[in-house]
Amino acid sequence: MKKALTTELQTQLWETIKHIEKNSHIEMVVVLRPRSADYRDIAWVWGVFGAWLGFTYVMFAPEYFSDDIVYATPIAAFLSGFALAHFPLLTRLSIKKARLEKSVVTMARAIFQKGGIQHTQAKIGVLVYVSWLEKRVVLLADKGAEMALPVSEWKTLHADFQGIFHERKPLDALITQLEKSQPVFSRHLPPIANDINELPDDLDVDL
Amino acid sequence: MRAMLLIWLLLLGLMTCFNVTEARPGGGHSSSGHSSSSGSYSSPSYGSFSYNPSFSSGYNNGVSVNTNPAGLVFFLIILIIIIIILKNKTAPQPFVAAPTAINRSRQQSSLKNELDLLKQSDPNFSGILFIDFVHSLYTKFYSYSTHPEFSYLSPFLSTELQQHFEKAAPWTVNEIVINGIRWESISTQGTETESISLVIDANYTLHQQDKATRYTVTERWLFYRQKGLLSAEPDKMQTLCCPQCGAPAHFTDSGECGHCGTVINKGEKQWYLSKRVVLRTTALAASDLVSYAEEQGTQLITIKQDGLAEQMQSYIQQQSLPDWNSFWQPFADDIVKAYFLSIYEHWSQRDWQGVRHLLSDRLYEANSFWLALYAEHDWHNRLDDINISQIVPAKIELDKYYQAITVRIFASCFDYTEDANGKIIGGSKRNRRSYSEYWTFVRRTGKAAHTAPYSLTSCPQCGAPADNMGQTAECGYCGSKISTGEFSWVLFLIMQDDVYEG
Repeated sequence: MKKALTTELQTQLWETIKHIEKNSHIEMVVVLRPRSADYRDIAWVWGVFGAWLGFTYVMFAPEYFSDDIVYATPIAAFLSGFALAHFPLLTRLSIKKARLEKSVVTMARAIFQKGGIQHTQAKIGVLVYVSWLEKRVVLLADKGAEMALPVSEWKTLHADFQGIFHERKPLDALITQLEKSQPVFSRHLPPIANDINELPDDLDVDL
Repeated sequence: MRAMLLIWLLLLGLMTCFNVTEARPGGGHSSSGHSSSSGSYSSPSYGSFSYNPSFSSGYNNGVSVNTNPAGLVFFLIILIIIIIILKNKTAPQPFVAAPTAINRSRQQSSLKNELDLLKQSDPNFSGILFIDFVHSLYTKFYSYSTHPEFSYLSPFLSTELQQHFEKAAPWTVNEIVINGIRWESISTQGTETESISLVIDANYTLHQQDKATRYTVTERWLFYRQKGLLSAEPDKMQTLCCPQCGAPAHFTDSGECGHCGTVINKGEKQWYLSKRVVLRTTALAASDLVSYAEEQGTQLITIKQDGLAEQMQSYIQQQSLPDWNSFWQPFADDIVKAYFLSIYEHWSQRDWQGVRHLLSDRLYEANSFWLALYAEHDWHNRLDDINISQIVPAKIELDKYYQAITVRIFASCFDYTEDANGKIIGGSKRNRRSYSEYWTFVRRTGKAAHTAPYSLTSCPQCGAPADNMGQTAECGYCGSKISTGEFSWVLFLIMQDDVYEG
């Protein structure tokens, strides 16, 4: 996916956002992150589990092992478990859904705050936060935007955005979904005269 | 799929590693509870591990133990592969949607088209003059802020902005320096109004409750005016004044000029600031002066204006020159190179006044502030042994009043900052720093092409030595104001390669 996030896609993404902003009063920010937390504890658990497996094997296998193998196996197995736990699928499967949800929402809120998305005068900032490992999309809207759209509309939007992870190319699907959301925002938050883009183009959300 | 493959490879590695190399005589011995032969292993290097001799007694002789180093190596290789793959794993890097170079280029292209449309309906419009107007308004907006004089600006501010500082605590803002103004959009599509959006990078000192804090800010300003207006002539654009009588801005809240009594409605005769947003604010520290970041944009390709060749053609036609080279070579040598070397030499010597006649007012003020800051700490920013390797034309803008030529200059030098004792506190005296910058030179339209070499040391109007230029760039001998580009080229703008957008 690193390769898939090409300049072409980034360009397209930016143009889609600008299109939404031009046709509605919304101020949109799209942020993608590989993961919302480091989940190091999961890697440690897998490492310890691997070490235990390795140790058990060299201890109880019906074979003889030299001292160095006995010594090295648990360490190597620990490292293997630790490394394996970094595979997104394994990490995701090792974590409870509630925890995944919480991590993503917490990170989305932090980005919203750090990026100053709440500083628009009419409170019309909307963050679309995509967290890759967790396969979650969070739509975080400021008060003005939240009130402008009915709850059911937000629910539909959220479900639709979440659906990008069911597609083969989630990034393309994200752009398509953003395009689809434009009429919704335009309908409920139509553009106003003398509108000014209140957020910087190069938002600093480094956390 | 790839993860599964890796897991399979890992398991394969583990199996290879732990495979028994030779069959054990006597079959399996799982009952011992320990498969290691640590105590009895003959190699002296492992003798120290013989902590439990009782375990080893049964396996002393004729036992083949697994010591396959190839398996271990294989296993480690697999592990390293996994780590490498993990490092390049498929998740996207942290990414915040922002305009790419392609987006920026498209934006510039659209900006150019809109500017052309604006110039069609307003042939008097000059980007240089508009920037001057914005500069004046920005300076006054902050210097007057909480003071009664703020009302003087009423025709240039929306009703909302007129009340902007009403609830603010009393403060004083001074040392206002605009570092850069970027065009963001021009809109001529409205039926009743035209608008221009700009991004302004500036810094100023805020004095509040006996404390002074220096801030760097980035703001977006949106200007409006009635559609179909003709821009005012240069002297009414370069200062904030009554668009009717030209007297310095002194208006009542309702927009009545204190001099001629004309009521100036917003946008009726001049641009007015409709909205502004502060995009970023950071308190400035002295240490920022000596922070030397790695050059970011030197390797980037030169951003050239769309239709640059046509603009070159227009320029040589306007100047009645036979070809581009007959203009370019002397311009590159006598203006760009000479100005570049002279300006940086005086910068190194902290003698900004020495090049006053080569700089626009805005550039002079902006950099004076930085030099004053260096002087305050008794620091010197030295740029030794400057070498210009290339000068590339990037943009030509022609309008009724001004010619502006932007070039990209590739240079290198030893760039360092030293304190009063000569101790280097930033940069390097040993490592040559290569960099490039976009410099924009402006001159009033209508100036004939020069034939004689330019003189950097004399007034371009009267020829007297340029040793008596006031801070406002008025020649002490003939009284002419030089910094407007009326008589010769002046350096209007310097932009770093990594922020230049065309």
